[in-house]
Amino acid sequence: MSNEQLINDLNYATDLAKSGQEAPLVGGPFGLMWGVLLSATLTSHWAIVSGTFNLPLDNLWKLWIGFAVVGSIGSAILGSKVKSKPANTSTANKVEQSVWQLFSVMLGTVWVGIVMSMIFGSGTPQLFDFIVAMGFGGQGLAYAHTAKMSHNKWLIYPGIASFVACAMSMALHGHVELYLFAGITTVFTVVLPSLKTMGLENAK
Amino acid sequence: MPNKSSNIDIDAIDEVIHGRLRLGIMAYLSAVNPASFPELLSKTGTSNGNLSTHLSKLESAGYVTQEKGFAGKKPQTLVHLTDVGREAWIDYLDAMRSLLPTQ
Repeated sequence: MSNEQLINDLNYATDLAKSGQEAPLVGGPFGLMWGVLLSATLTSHWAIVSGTFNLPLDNLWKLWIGFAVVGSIGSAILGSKVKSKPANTSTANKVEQSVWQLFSVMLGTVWVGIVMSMIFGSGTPQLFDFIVAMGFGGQGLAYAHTAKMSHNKWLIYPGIASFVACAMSMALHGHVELYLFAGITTVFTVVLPSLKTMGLENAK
Repeated sequence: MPNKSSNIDIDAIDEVIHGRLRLGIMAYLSAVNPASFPELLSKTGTSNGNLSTHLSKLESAGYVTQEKGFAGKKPQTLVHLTDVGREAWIDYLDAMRSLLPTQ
């Protein structure tokens, strides 16, 4: 075997390895679906609590149960589509899937804790305000980790924005405007980054 | 002793991996694991039969496993790089590095 032939073969292998390593993130549609849903739900939450919609407060339960049901169905539908995409199992995509799954587990456990506190303890509905702050904090962590572990370094910016939103959410704790703030901020921290991710995926 | 200046003696190199297509398969699987059969077809640009033949060779050596299943209602074959395969891939790269002429 000649040097030239060997080097050609190695270049071919390098190109293939790089195409796998630099594979685009495929989770954009998930982010877009959850981002639009979350933004609409948070804004509706604000509209109910502030009296803008002129609806009784017990509609909040229906709103959030609807959010969970629609989100779960949407995830199931998108999940089967994303699974069949090429490079779905690249390291970057595995990291992204893993951090967002753990993020939802974290929020779920906080939700269970709050409900238990309300049933068995002295918890008040205001405890749910913490979920908003924790959501933004977890989101920041997920973005920052994905940025570090993949070629998508730009994700650090929505990560930083999410951390700032986390601090702002704690500052707004107990104020009804928290939910309006969160609804609007979600457009910038989830919807727009998801659209960019989808654009980058389509470009490849 | 390999000649480092002109032609390379590849005796020291894992022959199961070496070969343009198997090299490409191993390289891609090192980054995307598992990969579907159609994905490998598209990335390597080879034919169905050729890919099957080379995957069988890698599978016989224990470097990859092929998992037959379904994606929805469609049959799908997923190719996994095994731990033994990853180790062999790293050893292969080390061997190549030691054989190539240093600048």
